[in-house]
Amino acid sequence: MTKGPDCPYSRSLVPNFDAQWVPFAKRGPMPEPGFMASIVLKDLSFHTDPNRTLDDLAAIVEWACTKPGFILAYQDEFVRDVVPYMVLSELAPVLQQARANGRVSLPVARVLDTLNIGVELPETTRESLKARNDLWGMRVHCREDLSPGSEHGQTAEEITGQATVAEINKWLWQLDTPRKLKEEAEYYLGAAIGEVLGNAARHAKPQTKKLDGDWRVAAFMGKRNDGEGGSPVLHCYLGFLNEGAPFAESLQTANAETLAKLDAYKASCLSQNCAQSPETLATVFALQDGITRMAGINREGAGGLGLMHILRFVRALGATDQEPFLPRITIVSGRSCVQIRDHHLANLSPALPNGDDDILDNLWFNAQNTMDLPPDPQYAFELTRNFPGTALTIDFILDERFL
Amino acid sequence: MGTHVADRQADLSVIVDRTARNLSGQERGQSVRETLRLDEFDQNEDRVVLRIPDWLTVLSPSFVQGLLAPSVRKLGSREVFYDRYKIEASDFMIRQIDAGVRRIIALSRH
Repeated sequence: MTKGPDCPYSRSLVPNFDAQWVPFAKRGPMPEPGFMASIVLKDLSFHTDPNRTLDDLAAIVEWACTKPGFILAYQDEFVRDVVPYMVLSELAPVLQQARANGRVSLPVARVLDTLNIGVELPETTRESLKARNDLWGMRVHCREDLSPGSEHGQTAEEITGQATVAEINKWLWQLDTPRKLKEEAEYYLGAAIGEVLGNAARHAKPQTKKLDGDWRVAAFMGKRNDGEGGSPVLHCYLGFLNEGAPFAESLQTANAETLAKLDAYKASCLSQNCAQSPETLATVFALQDGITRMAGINREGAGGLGLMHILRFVRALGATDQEPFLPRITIVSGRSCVQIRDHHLANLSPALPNGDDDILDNLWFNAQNTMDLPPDPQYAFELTRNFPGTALTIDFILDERFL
Repeated sequence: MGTHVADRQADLSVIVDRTARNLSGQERGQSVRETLRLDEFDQNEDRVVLRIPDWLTVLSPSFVQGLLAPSVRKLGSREVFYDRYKIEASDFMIRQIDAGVRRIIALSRH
């Protein structure tokens, strides 16, 4: 029997959530802030340590089950991944007893405020935020907030892609020297969002043919003087949540030919004592060009490219000569994590190719980039906790060439 | 892409109003394909002018694939496709569509 609040993320992060949950009325009075215990949150990022980030989020849920009050002690100076904060936003039904620490950095405060994470920011922090012109956040856009086809004849996915591009242009216009995305960057960004959301809408509910999988999108941008010689750099973070079937589960509804290839790939890797589970191997397999769960669609020349398109667009959008700021993408899906960065991302074909050769991509995450060898566990690995659906998080800088 | 005598017009401005900037999604492309009657034009071996209004800035690759894959597949090559289809759009929009056309062909040979 369900006992705790309706919160799928809590149930996934803490499997015995309902058994642990104590109703608020039975917990006693909330302590004064000075007497509350704190959970220290530092390096919250699925890019750097997804398992520890999931552990931190699970610890919050466990405390939320029983404590009359506790403090979320945010200690990051900068936000480097917006998705953990989006998950915190999803935990709102269980976080009524949580408070933020008094010394939240302004970048973190901007994200907490924009994503409407249920925390009471100190008034001085709110005043400081008003004065800052180097931190921008876009509120979460949800599929269910938009009625498909109702606005200008566009779908919810199209409206959201368009709104995100417009929002980033609005932020750029607030710079000391107003800027705007060039048409190429607008295309990479708008098309990437369109592909991510289309994928979520289509694949989240694999047993149905409806395009109604839910998704959430958030964006954050911060200007930091961490470029060469202290020059300003525009750091951008895009986050997507899709509370549906993980990639590995969705792929199980593919046609027999695709499933046979998947089985052969898994058998080959497992026979080499690979570090990955069959689910993580399936997640890697799902990324490849030409792989789709939509039966027969490849022969129409119309499917199986969407996930790799996303990677190609991020590679193009995040192009920069500043090596510390190369783009990266992390996919967390069920019990699997795949991180796309470094040479694996850099070697993809151009988003806008001029020739016909090598414009389909495979990304097997090993030195030879072959499906005959297992993936490098540095890039594809297991999660210790189950994520309910899929999160995709993107970190890139906006290079001068696109402004 | 050569001189072109058009028998048919297919205009995306009938799909969305002037405030729209993006079109995305494979199923969306297939739906627009039906609205524009491209299957019928292909069946009749008509020449087609595909007009993209200048207020649209993004056609996602999946949209292009949904819209054009059956035509590209039927015609078999990029050259034959552009002989049958004339694209009236900005230069950058033509690059977006051409990227989709190239990948449709690559995928069909995959």
